Amino acid sequence: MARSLAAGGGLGTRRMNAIKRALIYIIVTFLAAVILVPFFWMLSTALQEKGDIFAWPPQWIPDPPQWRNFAEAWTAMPFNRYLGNTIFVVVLGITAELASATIVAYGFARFRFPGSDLIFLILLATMMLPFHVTLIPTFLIWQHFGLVGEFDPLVLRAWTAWGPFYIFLLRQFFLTIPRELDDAAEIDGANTLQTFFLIMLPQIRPALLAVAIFAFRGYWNDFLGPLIYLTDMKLYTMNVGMYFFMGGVNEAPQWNYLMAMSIIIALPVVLLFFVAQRYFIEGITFTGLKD
Amino acid sequence: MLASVLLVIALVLSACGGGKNDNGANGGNGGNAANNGSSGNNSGGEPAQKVQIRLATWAGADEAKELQAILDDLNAKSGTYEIVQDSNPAEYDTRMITQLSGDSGPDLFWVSAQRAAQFAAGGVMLDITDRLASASHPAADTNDYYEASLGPFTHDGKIYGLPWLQQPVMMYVNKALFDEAGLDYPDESWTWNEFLDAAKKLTKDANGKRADEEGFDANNTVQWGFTLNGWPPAQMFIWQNGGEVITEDMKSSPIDTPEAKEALNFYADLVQGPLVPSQSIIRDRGFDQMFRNGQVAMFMGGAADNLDSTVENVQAFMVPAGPGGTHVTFGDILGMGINAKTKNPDAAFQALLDLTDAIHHWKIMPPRKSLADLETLKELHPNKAHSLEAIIASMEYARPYRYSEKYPDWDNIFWTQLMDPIINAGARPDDLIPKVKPLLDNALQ
Amino acid sequence: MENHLATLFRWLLVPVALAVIAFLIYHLFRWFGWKKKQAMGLALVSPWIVGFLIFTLYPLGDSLYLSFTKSSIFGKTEWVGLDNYIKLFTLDIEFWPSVRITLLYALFSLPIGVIGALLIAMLLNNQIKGIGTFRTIYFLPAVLPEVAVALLWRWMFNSESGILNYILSPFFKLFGMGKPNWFGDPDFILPAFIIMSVWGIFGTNTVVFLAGLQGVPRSLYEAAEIDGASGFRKFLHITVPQISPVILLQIVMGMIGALQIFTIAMFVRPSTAAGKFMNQLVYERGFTQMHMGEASAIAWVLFLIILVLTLLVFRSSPAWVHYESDMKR
Repeated sequence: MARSLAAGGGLGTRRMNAIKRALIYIIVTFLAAVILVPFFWMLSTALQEKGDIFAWPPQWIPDPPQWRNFAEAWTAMPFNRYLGNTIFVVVLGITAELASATIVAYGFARFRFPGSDLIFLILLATMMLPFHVTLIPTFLIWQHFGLVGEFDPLVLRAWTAWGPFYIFLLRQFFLTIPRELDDAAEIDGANTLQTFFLIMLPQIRPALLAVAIFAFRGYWNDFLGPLIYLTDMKLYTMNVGMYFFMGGVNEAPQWNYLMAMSIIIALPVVLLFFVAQRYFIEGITFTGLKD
Repeated sequence: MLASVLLVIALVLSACGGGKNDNGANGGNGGNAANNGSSGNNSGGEPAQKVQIRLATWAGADEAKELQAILDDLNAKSGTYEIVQDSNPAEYDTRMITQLSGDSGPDLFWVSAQRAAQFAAGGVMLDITDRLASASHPAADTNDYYEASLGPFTHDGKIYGLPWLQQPVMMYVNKALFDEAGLDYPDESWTWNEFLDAAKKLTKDANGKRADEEGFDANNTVQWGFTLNGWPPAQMFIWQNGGEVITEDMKSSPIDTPEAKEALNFYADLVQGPLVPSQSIIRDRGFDQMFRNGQVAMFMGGAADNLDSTVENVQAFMVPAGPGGTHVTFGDILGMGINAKTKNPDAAFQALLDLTDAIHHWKIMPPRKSLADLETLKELHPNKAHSLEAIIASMEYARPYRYSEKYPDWDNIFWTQLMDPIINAGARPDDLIPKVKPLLDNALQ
Repeated sequence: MENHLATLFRWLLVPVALAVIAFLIYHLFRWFGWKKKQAMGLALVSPWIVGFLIFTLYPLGDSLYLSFTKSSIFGKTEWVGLDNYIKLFTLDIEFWPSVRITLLYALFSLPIGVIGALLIAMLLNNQIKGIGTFRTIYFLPAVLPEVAVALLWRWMFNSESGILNYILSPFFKLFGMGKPNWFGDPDFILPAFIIMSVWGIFGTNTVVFLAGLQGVPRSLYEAAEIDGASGFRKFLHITVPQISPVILLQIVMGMIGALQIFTIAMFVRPSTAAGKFMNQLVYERGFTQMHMGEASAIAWVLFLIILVLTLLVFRSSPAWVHYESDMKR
């Protein structure tokens, strides 16, 4: 939008732009500050000596900051191994999820066949049932396959386009692509696969990227799945390991370690997003037809 | 490409971690041959292969570490089993119920008293009555347990698990605040009256005026005599006044008796009155935190709490008796059961006995009379030494709720319809009781 | 390590099997006389269908069956017909308050979430200096574990020292009110949760809209500018129609999410006087009180509420959702 406005020209509009720009800056900065306050609080808690979340008056800047809390939290439980397990689950899950969700979404967006609307509605409906009532039957299925206690329940389903949200999202984005694009490709003699890979996929790059980030976050932060299906502490993922700091029946939560671990776990996703967000700008600009 | 690189890293990381752990486990295995046979009755002691017993607990980081040390020791001594810990404090109930609903549950698992009653009724836990009778193990002697502690694990006369901890509710007292107010510390003779008097003298406003003095400003309190937020449970006060919340046949809920009504009013007066901080202040400053910080003088908590061992000048005393002098306190009970579907009931039973006994020597307060010896306990728990006498005395009259399959339904109504309105909305027991009593009775049908 | 390799091996086999199934489905339906495109469509979505048949159909059916039974998870299940539903609608003192607070929460939080996220995304769609950092900051709320978020809220709603009461206290004074006890006072529980829903604007929702805005062709705006259209007109006549498929997605997903609010409510544990959220009730009935039959019935009522609302949204969509590819209407 800004770029197109800049093309407008005249002196008046340019001044308008400057005012508008300044306004945007103020709003964006203010909201960013609001969002950052809780994060600052998290960091502050992570650096406290005892992690007392009720400390009064609140100590915003711990004195001295206990940076070693990060190292202590990491070694309090075998987080090296948990990190390996987490990466394993994430790589397998995200690869399968992206591949299958894209193909299935393409199928829903560009092909009509008897029952396709109904099937899509059922797909959405699978998100609508509270998961607690399907938890046990789903567990029994995996047990039937003899795979409880393995990583399989966490990653195999990804091949069947597990996340309805990802399919829904990609389908909606496929639907924003003009039909003429694939028609033209077909006239040029491209087959379905070629159209899909060469024409369609580049068009929805921002959406693909969004799905990749969401899926990454989903598998990285998955909690209930590993907790229920993994029965060996050696196979735990980081997020499950973090909850050890929640304390037990007569054991108080270690908030400083909990927050330190939360920050460590959040960092890779934040970094990934920071790297990826650049493509949100350039995603569409160079893909031809649309401009 | 990137994916495969990451995959390799993942495998290497988990392999490294795994390797370290295997070494540790092997060390344990190596040691066990020599010590074999010391764990009681594993006859002959020549089993070819140790059976793996998976133990699920809700232990957090520190507790899990201490537990692992105990398990390493037991595993080294035993020739029959190798207990593998599978702990996580998060969503323990959801995790257990889901895993136990199939055949993939742990062999041994920690269980709260309330769950134990549900699980025993549902046939999830192994009936160990006969095994206990024929075992000669210190932890297998049911006569040695405090009677109340076995209750939740007993269903239709059969025993389905063993308690490893019973913690009576104690009254933790900040002795410095007592001294400052010129009060004697609580003793056995304390009833609600002495307790109320003390609470008034221990509640003080910003000008230093006490709650029983002229000109006390209740809106400007800086120190409170006591604190309540639904805990300690109102049931305890009803018992102390000679009332009951569930009859012995577990068929009805007599909360409309004069004794129960009086106790509920006592509770409501406290929670809505000036001697206890408002619920929003408690939410803001933390329930036990306020006691730790010296803003509250008396605090009721389980005997296993670390208030007396980590906060200066704090000692646990018996909770005050009812106006008639009746001593009762609520006793929270935690235990361990065997999965009815375990493939190795014998080894699991042996592990249950050994581990239960080990935990009895680890935590306060073991539910066994033979271990309730002041000198022994003082040696085991030096940092709680000053409180132990009162704790042991409280064991004699501590009692759990009347758990049954119906208990959670009853509890849901008791809490949401009666206690929550009293505590959060300033409702009065006399208005609520006629409405709630039929609902409670109904939940027990 | 063995666990990893075994899983990796099985993980590699699954797509092969799925591809074979897709191939067979394609040819089978071609043989039935379906058109090429129809059979191709079915083959493309077949991985999802396979997953649905194996992993979702049984749990769905099982929970529906359980809703007509008395089941304690471990004991026997006993067929009771419509009893669970009748009990819910007539006797259960927790059911209607629960439906009420859940629907009210969705009613208020959904528009806040969708409109808020769209506005924020438009802000972030500008090319200003440091926009990458700003976008990352706005994404941050999506990466926090929910328990951390819940803790933050507990702290912000602190009636004494919480930032919220600090900001709002002039307003409260204006109406002669004291500082509200957010999670204790039944009158303030719903407002507290609606305020918390503002957090949902950021993170995922903003990113989805941002991706959507990127797909709007610049040429459309340029053409409109030549016609002298104002910013608001451009928003209304270009932006909204162009991203309407994404708005539809956000409304449907937002509705499902709002009606299923759970984790944060369980963690904050407010007074129950205003009613528990439906998903909370499902959990407590099923896993605390172990009445899986009743829990399933509540779950299915919630399911049907969401389904009906979703169908209504979809029915209305031809009127306002604009698809570039006119395949869907």
